[in-house]
Amino acid sequence: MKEALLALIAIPLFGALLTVFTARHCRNRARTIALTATIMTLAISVWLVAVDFCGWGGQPGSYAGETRFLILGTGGPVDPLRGISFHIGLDGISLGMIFLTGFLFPAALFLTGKASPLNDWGFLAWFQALQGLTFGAFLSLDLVLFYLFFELTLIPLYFMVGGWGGGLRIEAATKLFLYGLTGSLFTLGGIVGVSLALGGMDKGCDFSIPRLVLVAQDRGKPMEASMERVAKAKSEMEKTMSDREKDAARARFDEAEHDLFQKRKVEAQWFNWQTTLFLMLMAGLAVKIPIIPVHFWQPLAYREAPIALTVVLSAALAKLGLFGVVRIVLPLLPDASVRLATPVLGTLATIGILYGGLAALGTSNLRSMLAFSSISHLGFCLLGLVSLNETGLTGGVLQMINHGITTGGLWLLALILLERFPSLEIHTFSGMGKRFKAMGVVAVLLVLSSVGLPGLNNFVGEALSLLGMFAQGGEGRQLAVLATLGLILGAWYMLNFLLRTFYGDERIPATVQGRIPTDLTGCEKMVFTSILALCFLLGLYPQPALKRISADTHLVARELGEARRRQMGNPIPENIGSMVLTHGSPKSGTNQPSAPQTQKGGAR
Amino acid sequence: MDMDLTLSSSSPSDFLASVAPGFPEFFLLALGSLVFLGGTFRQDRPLWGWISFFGLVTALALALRPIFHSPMEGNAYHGPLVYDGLSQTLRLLTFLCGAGLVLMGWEEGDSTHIAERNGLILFATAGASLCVAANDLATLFLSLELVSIPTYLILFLTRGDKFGRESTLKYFLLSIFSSAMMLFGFSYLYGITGSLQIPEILAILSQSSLNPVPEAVPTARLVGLVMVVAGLGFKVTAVPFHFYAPDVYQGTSHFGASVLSTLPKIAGFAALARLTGLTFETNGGVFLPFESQSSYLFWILASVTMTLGNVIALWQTNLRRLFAYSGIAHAGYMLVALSVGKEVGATGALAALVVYLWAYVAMTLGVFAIFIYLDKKGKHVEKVEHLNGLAKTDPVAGGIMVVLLMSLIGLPLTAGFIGKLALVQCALRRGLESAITEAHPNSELRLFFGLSIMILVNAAIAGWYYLRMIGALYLRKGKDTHPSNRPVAALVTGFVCVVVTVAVGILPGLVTRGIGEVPWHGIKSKAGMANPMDKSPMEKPPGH
Amino acid sequence: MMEVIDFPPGLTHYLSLGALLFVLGLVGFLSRRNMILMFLNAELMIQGVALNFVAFARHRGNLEGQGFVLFLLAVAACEAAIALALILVLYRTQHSLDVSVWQNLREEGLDPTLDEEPLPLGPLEEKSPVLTPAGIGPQQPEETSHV
Repeated sequence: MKEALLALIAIPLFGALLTVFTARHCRNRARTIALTATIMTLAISVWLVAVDFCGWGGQPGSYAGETRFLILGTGGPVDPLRGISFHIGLDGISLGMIFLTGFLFPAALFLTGKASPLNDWGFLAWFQALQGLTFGAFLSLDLVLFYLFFELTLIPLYFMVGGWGGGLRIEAATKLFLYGLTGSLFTLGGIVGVSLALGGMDKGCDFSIPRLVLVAQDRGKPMEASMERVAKAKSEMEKTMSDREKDAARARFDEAEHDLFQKRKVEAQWFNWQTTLFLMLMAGLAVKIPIIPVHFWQPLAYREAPIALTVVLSAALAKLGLFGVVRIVLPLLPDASVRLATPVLGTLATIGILYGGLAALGTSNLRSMLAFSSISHLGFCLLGLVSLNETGLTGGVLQMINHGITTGGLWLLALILLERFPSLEIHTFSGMGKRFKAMGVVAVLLVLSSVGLPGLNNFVGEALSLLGMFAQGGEGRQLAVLATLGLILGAWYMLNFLLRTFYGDERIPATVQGRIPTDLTGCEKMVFTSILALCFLLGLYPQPALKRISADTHLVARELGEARRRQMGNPIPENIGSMVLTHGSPKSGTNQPSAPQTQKGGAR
Repeated sequence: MDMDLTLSSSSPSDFLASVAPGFPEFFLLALGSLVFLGGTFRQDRPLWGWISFFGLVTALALALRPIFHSPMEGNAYHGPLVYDGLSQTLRLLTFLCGAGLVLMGWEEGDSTHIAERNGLILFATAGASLCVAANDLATLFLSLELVSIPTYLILFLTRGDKFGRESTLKYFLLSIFSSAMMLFGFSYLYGITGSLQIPEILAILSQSSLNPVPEAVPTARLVGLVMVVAGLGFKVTAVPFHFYAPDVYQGTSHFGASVLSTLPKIAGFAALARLTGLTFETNGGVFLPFESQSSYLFWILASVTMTLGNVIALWQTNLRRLFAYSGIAHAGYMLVALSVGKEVGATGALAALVVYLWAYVAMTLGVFAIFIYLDKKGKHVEKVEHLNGLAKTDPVAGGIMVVLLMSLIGLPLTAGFIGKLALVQCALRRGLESAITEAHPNSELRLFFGLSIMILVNAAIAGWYYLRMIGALYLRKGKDTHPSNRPVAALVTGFVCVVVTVAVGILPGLVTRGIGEVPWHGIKSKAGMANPMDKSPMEKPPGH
Repeated sequence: MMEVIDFPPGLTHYLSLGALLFVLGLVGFLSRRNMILMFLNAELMIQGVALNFVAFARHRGNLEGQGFVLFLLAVAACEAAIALALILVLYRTQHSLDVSVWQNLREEGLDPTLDEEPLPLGPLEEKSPVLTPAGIGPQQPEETSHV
């Protein structure tokens, strides 16, 4: 297990080096190396999924295949950076992301034709490096390590977009890099702040996510204890009869209240600080997702990037931001999340859903349409995550996988269209379904999956996300209603696209090299069949996946529930919506995490 | 009272023992003199190049495996030189930097003064290296001058046209001016404390901040602090004192700019760190030689310096001018460490300063080495556009350049990232610590939180102009030039700088080793002294 | 009416004089245009510092300050040597001691400061006698005979 995780990061990076040093200016060899490396990662990630579902992996709620050793700052006792470690591990949340990364990178390479300009050794080397870094970010359990991989992905992206992109490639690359850099620098500040605030300052600092999560969970305990003490003293005061006893009880009550007051003061300070850190951490993640006010780099980058890169940019890399939310922001800053996630992030996500839908409706280019639809769909993922209950979180994570598969599939479709035709302007195509039967079937099914037809994968994720939001009540409900409008918009532009390109009179533009355009080839059929199979699998029988995800999201949701209860001052029923998860509810069976130390604290 | 603690009472053999660890520097000075003398007989590039290079390598080896150990016990810290963790690491940096400069200048400039130039590099390197170890004001002043005077001459020798002359003039006059300011501050520090020993000065000052003191002392102390910071601010290009840098860098050659951006800055920052007590072991006691004044002073300097440097760098087209502003901005980041100061636990701020100084020197030296390499190859680089398409025409130089630029931006796995991380961490830590202990008002949290945000915003702004260079290197097309020759030495320097950058980026512990271990045991007894201001000269020991 | 100064003058008097010298030098440095005068003003600042050191050394009753002054004077002499050499070279190129003729380097798009009352240019000197240069002379192309 350990070796498998390390190999996931090492193989692509090694492949990149191999490409640079042995396959310079040799297209075929470079392609062979890149395909071999990425397909090896595919095999490993499939194996990891299989192992996990057969129950041979780690316990649910803990990290499988953890590896940990110090990397940075092994110097003396005064090293300011003591404690940064190479700490990786796999859990239910990252498993799906690993699978997506392992699947889409080889698929994009596989479908890129031999003659494509993207089969350049430079591009292939950067592409493999990007895959290794993405794996690293999804696997890392150390704040700085996550940041390191997260930020390093900018370098391959910059060079790939700038070197092999379309006409506005330099602008697109610069924009992408600067947006990413600015955002992630704030995230860096947030990471340092979190580690200082939670990890303590006297003995170096602690960047380990599992350990910091434990601290964050315990952070509210003293406050709760003194609240209980006040309540007890109060009831005692009311019970006691004699004057002397009454005085003593009053004194106890005053003392308890004073104690609570002090704790409240500390808590208020911590809470303010959490709010700041929340905003800082979200800055970088928001740029990567992207959510609405910082999305300006995205349409340009998606349109100008080489198409194989756009596939993984949209389907795998956008998930880095969302993954950061569920892995870092929510568990480490529960109080601020409870207060800010729904009103701020939820609202932005909803605006994103509607904005993306409307903008996609207005575009005439397939790539722009898919770019905007990505904003819209990622809004659903985020909406699920910020509903902060188990249903929503599970739905959000599942939707991240679904979006990767479906939108990834659509981008791959765009890729093979671009292999055949020079441009992706929607109006140049018409009635393609007649000649390209297989392509038509694939397109119809992918579009149906994307609009959320029941029985296909996106339905499950979107439904759970919205349900989670509904269950949250209050403004969550209003946001969920608004977001539902986004579904209708999605159906509108997607079906519109389908209608215009695959139905109607046959009008097929000239091919790139004047060749006769062909239907799907064998390889393409293989890739798309597996994508569609995944769509159906996750649409018809999502329970195993949900069970695996909720084993981990349950812990996050519980922590957030406690934080919310603290804030409300009175307990609220936890997980109203969790009855949806009939199968694999973590409340039944061994998954019940009675003591968090034995669960997520495996790293201790 | 412990009378052994004054310099004048130590015997000549004690004195020799305390300066003996400075052997590598004295070796360099002797070698420099020899090179000067020899230069009158022979002007031979390889000869003087190899002699200087091997001299520096020998000094490096001697510093790594010292023959004479600094006798740290007892009163040894009263010697003129102190070899603690800070001086060890910065001394290595200085020698490496000197060796890099010799290599970079291998094919650079005209041959008529090659011996003099190499000798001057040896002098300046020895000066900077003595400066990081200087333990009293006299040594500090002399070693700073030992950096400055060779620098004037290098500036003069390296570019002979009117631009070179003008930049020499500007640097020379302002440098003397700044020295005078610094000396004025020194005279007040000496006057308040009656000592030239830096640890003693700091100990007495921090004492006087606790006891009732004559009214004049706080004012005199403030004058001393401000003047010293102003004087050293010139050396490190802190903002109100930065204005010579862009002109001088632009007017001199790449080589002159690389000397100017490294050695004086190492010396200046080391001196500032020593004088503000960053290296001072307090054994847990309250230690505020300048109360919070130095902290706030550096806060203002740091924020203004980094912001102004980065913002003005945005619209520079001349490469050396751009790197002058970039150097100003980096100096601003390093001033953060001085602002955070000693109040942060252990020696976090000092370690951050050291890591960043290593990062800065490696990055800047490497960039200038590549400029020199390109210049000598016949591709004249003055403006950013001249770098266009370099990655295609010269992948090795382009690769070196891009790693260095990534480090300047602050991307992970490079020293620039680790340095910024450490600085942000200590700034936030200072803010949070004050918020948690409530020893200071809440405004301190805002102040230092603001400072760390300022570092991040500035790093983002800096990304803009560095990225423009990366874009020029990799994404734009340039004219193919036919290389006339291959100046390997400069390329090797660039490569070594990349290695250092990445090594420090992955293992910052390599250069911060030993910084916490400040073996000054005698300090307690010193701190027990009465306030010297109300002590009449009569009470002085009979040793005078 | 003059007040009687107590004799011998105390620390304050020396310090005041030192500060006065320093400030005079500072103001002079910032306001003068003549390179030699600028340099001399900087020297004046250093002399003020030296006075401070000596005064403090006497007040403290130790010799460290006096020792510092010796170093100070030595370094000042070195700098004077360099200054004179540099100023001589600069004078030879521009025939003026005015610093405001050196304005080639400035921020892009910024006009040079116009000098309303330029210092008079020095006489175009006839070739002054040159000492035999020490050491190796610059490489001369070898004369070839065409006879």
